[in-house]
Amino acid sequence: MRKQVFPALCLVFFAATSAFAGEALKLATTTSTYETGLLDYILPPFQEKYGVEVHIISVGTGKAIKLAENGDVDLILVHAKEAEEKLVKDGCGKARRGIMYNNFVILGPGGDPARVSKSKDVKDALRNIARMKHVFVSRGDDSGTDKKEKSLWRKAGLEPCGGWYLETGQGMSATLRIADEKNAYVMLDRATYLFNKDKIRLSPLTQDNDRDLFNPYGVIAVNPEKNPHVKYKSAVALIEWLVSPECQGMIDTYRVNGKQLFFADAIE
Amino acid sequence: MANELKGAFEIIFSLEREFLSAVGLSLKVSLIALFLAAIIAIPFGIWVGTGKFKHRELTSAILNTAMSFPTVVIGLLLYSFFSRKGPMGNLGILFTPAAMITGQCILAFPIIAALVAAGTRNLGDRAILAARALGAGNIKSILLFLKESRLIVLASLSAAFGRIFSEVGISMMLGGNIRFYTRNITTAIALETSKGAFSLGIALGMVLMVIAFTINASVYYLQPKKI
Amino acid sequence: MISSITIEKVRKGYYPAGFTLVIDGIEFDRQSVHTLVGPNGSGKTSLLGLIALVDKPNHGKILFDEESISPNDKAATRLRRKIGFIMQNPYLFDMNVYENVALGLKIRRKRRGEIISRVEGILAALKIEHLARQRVKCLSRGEYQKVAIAQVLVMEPEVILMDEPLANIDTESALAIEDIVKNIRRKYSPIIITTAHSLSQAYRMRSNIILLKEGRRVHFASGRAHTNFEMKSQEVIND
Repeated sequence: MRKQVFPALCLVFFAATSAFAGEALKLATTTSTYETGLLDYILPPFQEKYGVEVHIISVGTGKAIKLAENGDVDLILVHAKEAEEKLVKDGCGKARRGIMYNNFVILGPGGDPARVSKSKDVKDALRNIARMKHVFVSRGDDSGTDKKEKSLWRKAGLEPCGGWYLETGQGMSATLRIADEKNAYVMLDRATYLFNKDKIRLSPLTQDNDRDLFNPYGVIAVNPEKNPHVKYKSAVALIEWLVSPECQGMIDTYRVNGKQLFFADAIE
Repeated sequence: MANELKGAFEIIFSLEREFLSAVGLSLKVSLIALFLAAIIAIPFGIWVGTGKFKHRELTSAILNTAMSFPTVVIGLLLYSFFSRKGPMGNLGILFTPAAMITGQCILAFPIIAALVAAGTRNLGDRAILAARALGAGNIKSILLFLKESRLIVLASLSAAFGRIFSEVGISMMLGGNIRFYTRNITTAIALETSKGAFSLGIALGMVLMVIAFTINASVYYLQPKKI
Repeated sequence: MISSITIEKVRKGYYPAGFTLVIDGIEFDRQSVHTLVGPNGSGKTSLLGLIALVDKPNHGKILFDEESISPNDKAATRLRRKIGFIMQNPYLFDMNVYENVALGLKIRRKRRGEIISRVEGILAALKIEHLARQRVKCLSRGEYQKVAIAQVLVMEPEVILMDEPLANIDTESALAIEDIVKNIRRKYSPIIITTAHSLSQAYRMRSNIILLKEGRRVHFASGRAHTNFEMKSQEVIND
């Protein structure tokens, strides 16, 4: 009798838990596409059309890529082109498509003590901030934005460290909030900035046409050859939806406070 | 702040979907986790409290230490287990309520077991002995003993529920904070705060406090006042 | 009806306390009350535990009418119902006084009417009928002890084991309890084994005295030979 109790309990446990194990498609994405509400705008038509539910796990790009490598999600929507291409080259990712872009901006406090707006480009701006040792808040979480920011510091020939350089380890909105509370400089994608514009005091100081601040988003399916359990077909269907003229049009028309956050670029 | 409070009450009274699904998921996950943990933890706690075996002191010391197990460590361990690259990856339950239930179950287990063990330590021998002395058989003795320890069990369950209901680490790491699916009260509060949208956070926080307070108050009133 | 209990070559070690009970050849019958006397740690309570079948000896036998019974036997469950054990620190269940006293009769599946009359009878005899609906957590120590005694005596067990039954009890109540025991003996003469620190109670009940020290029997006196015995036993206790 006693011998049967444990297996029976295990059975009950797994019966109870497996009832919740979902059949939905798992999409890991960078915080900027989720927190700005874009995905909640463009995904419902897909879910209706295909009857596939999409579960969004909103993490940094670095974490999303890790999740793809481990096969814990079915596809990812991120913004770190080099890391994305490496994922495909290593055979973990498949069917990469660029779907949209916007650009990064550097925000700073009123009065612009490091004279970022007067700098000739973003590298110069970062050098000015470093020279002034004015507080700069960084994600520090290996996200797409974080990778981009670190690469810009490298391009500027600097390695930021010291009490003025703060790494939060949190999502974009949280980091922005911290920067705002501290009256600091911060770099972020335009979408997250526009979405939060009314809740902060910091203002944008960089030029929109700076090539170094270009921010392309790509979508990649997890390669079923490495992780046979992934829902590759559904993932490809979702990618096809994202690059379809209909969805691309929706991305272009998505507005927050009357501003366009993302620019579709899957169709040449 | 006044605006956010007003917003919070509007959310509560209009029963917004975002709000309801978080409250519902919190209750569902925590109650199932509590139930599953209790099935094993109550008998185990009674065994540790009343049993006679070699490493009883050690076992109860381990249980007591495990009571303060940090949620993020449980989250981390289970994450590496449930990840597709992990030993239990083929279950595919990472980022599902099942993973949250498992984590909360592990969090609740030592709390229930340790409190039941501590409570029954003195009671156990005496109540069972007394029942036997009155001529009760094994089953009747155990039933009488369980009836005697109902308050201890109840108190341990509510302590465990309070802990798992308000934890955020496990839910965030194992559930992934997926809207309408694995977003519960605490992860929703964390997200709303990071977005700077406080109304929903305040509404959920009030529910969290009311539920936790109600449970603790009811246990307090159930306790006999004079010993 | 059990007419005798015999302890045969019993040996039982108690590890935390670090002493061993070694008893051989004691017979308890229905003719008189038996009192185990000895200082703390002499093994009185341990011996009662063995007789009550809640504890098991390492060696030796406890014979009930020549039949050896061990706590794990099927027969033990049946036999335990005939044994009433009033413990030193009795445990009452978290119910009211009436329910506690009725518990043993309920376990024996007695009829409702019989339960009510027997419980009310014993509560009245102990003068605690006014406490019937009180929760036991609210009783004084003396009241608590009396309820524990009522709980056992109401079952009219064939074997009555009492571990320091009169501790915590005032003299008047102690005499009342002794009267009840006398009545019970007149009614059906069960085997009665009790323990005590002092001898005065044993004398009043004209009981057999078994003197224990460090887990061994050091002296025995039948109820009829008390006077010679008194000096010797006092020496041992004071020792």
